[in-house]
Amino acid sequence: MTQLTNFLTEPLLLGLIWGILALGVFIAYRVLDIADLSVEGVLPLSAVLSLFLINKGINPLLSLLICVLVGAICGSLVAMMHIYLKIPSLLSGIIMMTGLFSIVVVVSKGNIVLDDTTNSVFNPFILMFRSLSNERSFIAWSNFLGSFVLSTLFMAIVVFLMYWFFGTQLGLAIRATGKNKMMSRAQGINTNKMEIIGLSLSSALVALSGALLAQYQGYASSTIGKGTIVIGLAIIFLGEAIFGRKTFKTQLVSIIIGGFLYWYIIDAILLIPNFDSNLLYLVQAILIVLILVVPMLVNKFKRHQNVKNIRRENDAKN
Amino acid sequence: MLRINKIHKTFTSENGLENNHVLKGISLTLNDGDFLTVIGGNGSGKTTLLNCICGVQKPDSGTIEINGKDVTKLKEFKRANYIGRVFQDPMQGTIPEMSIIENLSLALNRGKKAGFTWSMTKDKRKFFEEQVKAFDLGLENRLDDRMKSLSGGQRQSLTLLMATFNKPDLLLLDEHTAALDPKTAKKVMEKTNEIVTKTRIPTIMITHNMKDAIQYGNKLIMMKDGKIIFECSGKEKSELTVDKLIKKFSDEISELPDSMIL
Repeated sequence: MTQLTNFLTEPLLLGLIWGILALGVFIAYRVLDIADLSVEGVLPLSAVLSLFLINKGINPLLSLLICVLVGAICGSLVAMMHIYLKIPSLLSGIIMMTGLFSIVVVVSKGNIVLDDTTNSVFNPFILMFRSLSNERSFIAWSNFLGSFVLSTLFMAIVVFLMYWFFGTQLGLAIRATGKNKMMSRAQGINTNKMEIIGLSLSSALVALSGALLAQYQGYASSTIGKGTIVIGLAIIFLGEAIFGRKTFKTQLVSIIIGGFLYWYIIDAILLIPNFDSNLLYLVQAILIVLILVVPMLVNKFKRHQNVKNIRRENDAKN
Repeated sequence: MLRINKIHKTFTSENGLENNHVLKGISLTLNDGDFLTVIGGNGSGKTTLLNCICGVQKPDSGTIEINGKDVTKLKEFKRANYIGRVFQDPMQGTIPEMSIIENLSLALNRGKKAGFTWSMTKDKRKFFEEQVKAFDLGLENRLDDRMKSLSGGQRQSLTLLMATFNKPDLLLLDEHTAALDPKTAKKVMEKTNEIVTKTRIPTIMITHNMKDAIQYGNKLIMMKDGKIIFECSGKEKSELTVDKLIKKFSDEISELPDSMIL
């Protein structure tokens, strides 16, 4: 693979894996209207836990499922802190994030590497493609194609399940809870239960994303989670800036596309010669501000032009 | 049937020093087909009474029974299985970001478990189309539109439909026409009367409009300082006029806001 093909293919993979995270953040942030910062802890926890479990001899797919379950538990704990202990949801998330960070360091001892890099959920798919050709140059391609097919598979399953779930009576009740609690309770919805279910699902997806990321990379450091929430939100906002927020279906699709776009932008920035990668967090922070502000300015400009045109027409009439 | 037996409610300030005794032993009975209107000035306790009935607030003492079942300790969302509610603010009774049909679907599911059944089936859509058509709002072809694209009157009418189409045991209306312009308010009020008369759901309506309170319903109470100071029903109610009420309670009525008398 050349540098160019690498530039073109890497964001597709990262877009899918982080897209699953963005879908999780979307459930908390957009559906439930809760800014759950615990993702910053759940993602690295799931990443290191997944590798830790595989190194202990557990099947990669099983480790993935365990991580999802652990994520769901973390999410429900955040919701319960918020509901039963009356801690503001933002703080509940921060508390969970801080607490989890210790566990991340303990499990990973700072850094964790997959003992056998071929032992991941990606491997069977990579091997499938590798069997197609013996050419040396095809090794990188089969790595990409295998990983891409598996990530696409996971993304497809997640999107399908989300679309189905939020169309059921239970999913509708969760969406209603996020929009109008008073009305929801008047319609007999147990809003507390809906928040617990919603945040569990959100964190479960975040955990799935973290475990996939770690298995794809073959290693995970304890700092892997830094900036997670910003990436998740940036992907959501980027999608919304392009597609708007019309229906639930368009929102799901916009997040997938937003994921790809986000990583192409980051990839492009990294191509700048002599770019100091330490500045990446700063770039991400500035990027999310731009994603939020630019569409607003464009709208304002459009409205301004509209008013101008109307005024001109009126002047012409007089 | 609704039976309220001597409920008291006191609000205590955060430091626990000030007490506000809002409801002082209210008792009420509503039978099937009863339509009760409630009037009273600000702070008379009428909204707290409604909140205690639907479970937003818990009374300190006393009991509330719906159809013979004691619901005093039942949580708000569980009590919603028996109660249909329409709020004062048209934004409050619906979800603006969701489509009309999604809102209706939420309401139709009231009293059932929110499970994994698909929320939008063909049968349901047909049922909703019929219901909305019967309501004469001209919205039966706009079921997929966002709720926020509707006017306040349309939204309030739909909330009324949502509150009643699965026949609750009790209907609570909290100044549900107060935020509407007079013409729309009249239309919604007439629709309300039609439904209550037709379905015979026991209904409590708080109103800011004394004329409405007298014109509609078969029972009327007036509240002041957490007590019922005037109560009438049947023939006495039908003979009541705004003038008579003002003569009888000139002192109390002078405390009412102008909008209530006009």
